[in-house]
Amino acid sequence: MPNIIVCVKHSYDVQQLRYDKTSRKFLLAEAPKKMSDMDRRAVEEALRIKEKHGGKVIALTVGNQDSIDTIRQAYAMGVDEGYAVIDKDFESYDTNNVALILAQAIRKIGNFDLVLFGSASTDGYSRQVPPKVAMYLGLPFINFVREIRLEGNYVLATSDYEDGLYTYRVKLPALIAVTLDINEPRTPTPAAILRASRKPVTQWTLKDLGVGALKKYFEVLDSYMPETPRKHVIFDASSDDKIPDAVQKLIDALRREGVI
Amino acid sequence: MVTILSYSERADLQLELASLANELISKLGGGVSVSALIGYNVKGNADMLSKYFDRVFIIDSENLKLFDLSNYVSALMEVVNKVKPDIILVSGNRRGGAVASALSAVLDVGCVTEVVKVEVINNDVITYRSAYGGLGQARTRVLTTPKIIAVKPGAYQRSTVTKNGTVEELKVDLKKSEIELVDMKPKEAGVKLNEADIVVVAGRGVKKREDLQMLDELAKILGGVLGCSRPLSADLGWFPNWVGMSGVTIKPRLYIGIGVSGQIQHVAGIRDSKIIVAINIDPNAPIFEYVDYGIVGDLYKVVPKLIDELKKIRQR
Repeated sequence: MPNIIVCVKHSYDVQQLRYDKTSRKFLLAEAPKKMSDMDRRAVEEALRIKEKHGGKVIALTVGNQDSIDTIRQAYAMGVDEGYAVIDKDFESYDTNNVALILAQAIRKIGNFDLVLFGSASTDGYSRQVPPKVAMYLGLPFINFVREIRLEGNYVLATSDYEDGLYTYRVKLPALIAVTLDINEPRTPTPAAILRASRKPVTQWTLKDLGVGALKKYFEVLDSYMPETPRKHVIFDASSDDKIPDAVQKLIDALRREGVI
Repeated sequence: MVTILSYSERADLQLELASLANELISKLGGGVSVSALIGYNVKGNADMLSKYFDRVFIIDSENLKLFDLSNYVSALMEVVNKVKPDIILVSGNRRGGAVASALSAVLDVGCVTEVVKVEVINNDVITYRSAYGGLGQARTRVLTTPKIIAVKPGAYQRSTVTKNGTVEELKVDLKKSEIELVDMKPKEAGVKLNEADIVVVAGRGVKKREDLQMLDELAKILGGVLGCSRPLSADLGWFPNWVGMSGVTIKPRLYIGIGVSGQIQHVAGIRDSKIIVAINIDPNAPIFEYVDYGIVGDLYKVVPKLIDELKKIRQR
């Protein structure tokens, strides 16, 4: 009966992220957050493994106080236990910092057979944290996984690489990161969401994990919506008689540009 | 004098890194470019790489036949210890991104992935990476030495500057992997959206699946390929993948969006295209903010006319 730890991130919902047209900065203060898309599938996969093989599913996050929402979302989906490492300086952490904290928290939770991640977070999308945690914990690592099957003390996982689908077999414990293709996550019922709001979330500080001052490896100077100058030439074909002319003008323009 | 180490499991991507390595060396006051050629039965690529790098180190081992991250990192560490690089460039495809990240943990240095451009400002290396899942861009800096920079494939052209580099083989004791490969299904080659010169993209304005035939015909006449925006793939399942953030990012010579509304998440995936064209019935569709040329009109009338006219040109 496997014990599975799923690492989840409370991410900006980039599908709803807007930017200021003048400054071109993102409007982060008003941006909604949610559990990262691939992490949600990692939770779903853990729950499916549990439904088949028994065991326990534990959700773990690191973040600001608001990241507890993501543990609540995991509870609503059906996980058994939730842990959150809370630090007010989380926004300034780089992937080395986050991976180190998660590795320490995983050690402290202990007694696991499988650690699951999403291969990339919805907002950061660096893809750095899962391989780093694998290195810190010295666990075999299988990445970009779109299928998982447990066989006794072994796990079979199919990695989606650019050149093909590779199915690997490795003895537990192992660390696996999954892609969006692995499953379609369940939508929690209103009753489950209500129950989740009353479940206890174990909160740790960096001190609880024995993590001291964090070294700075990487910094973001600024982020913005890039601007690519465009010609903005619009041809009107809103009535039938204008269509031939508009189409001809477009073809002429594209030939002048040398693209057709 | 800087030493820049480049690694990718793919020789063609190594040549992209060679371009960036040469650029950085010249901007940082001279230095040496080094290529790490790591894998099983890879020695055949050494001569080719030595034409584009000053030094090539080969690590060839049966234990690298399977992609085991910790073995690849151990092999790369051997080259790192040998040449003590200031900057480590890795091509950020799926395997490369993981190698860069894991190496950063083992070396205890900083790493930036998804890099599209590197600049040197006052001797400082500034990396531009995509931000918020590809929606935006961020200026970033790795604060350690060495710095690990994982560059998006395609961000740099393959190097054409030829050198007469040295080749040296290193022996490393690697353990047999705990991971075993039990099956491998190669992917069909086909024309990939992100490699096509001309891409026609179908958007939500396309009402029926059968109508895609008309758009496909347009794409074929132009010598391009047909893709779609997110709803047609994620919601309707008409395509296996979509163009845009979290789907495929493209930068063709010509992009034609047909019935595409132009959510910024879609625009983020096409904004590096050379020429952007949109055809949409709604003059207020956001896509028109991002185009070089647009036609405001009914795609069901405009596209057939466009096909007819292009056919006439082709017949001439």
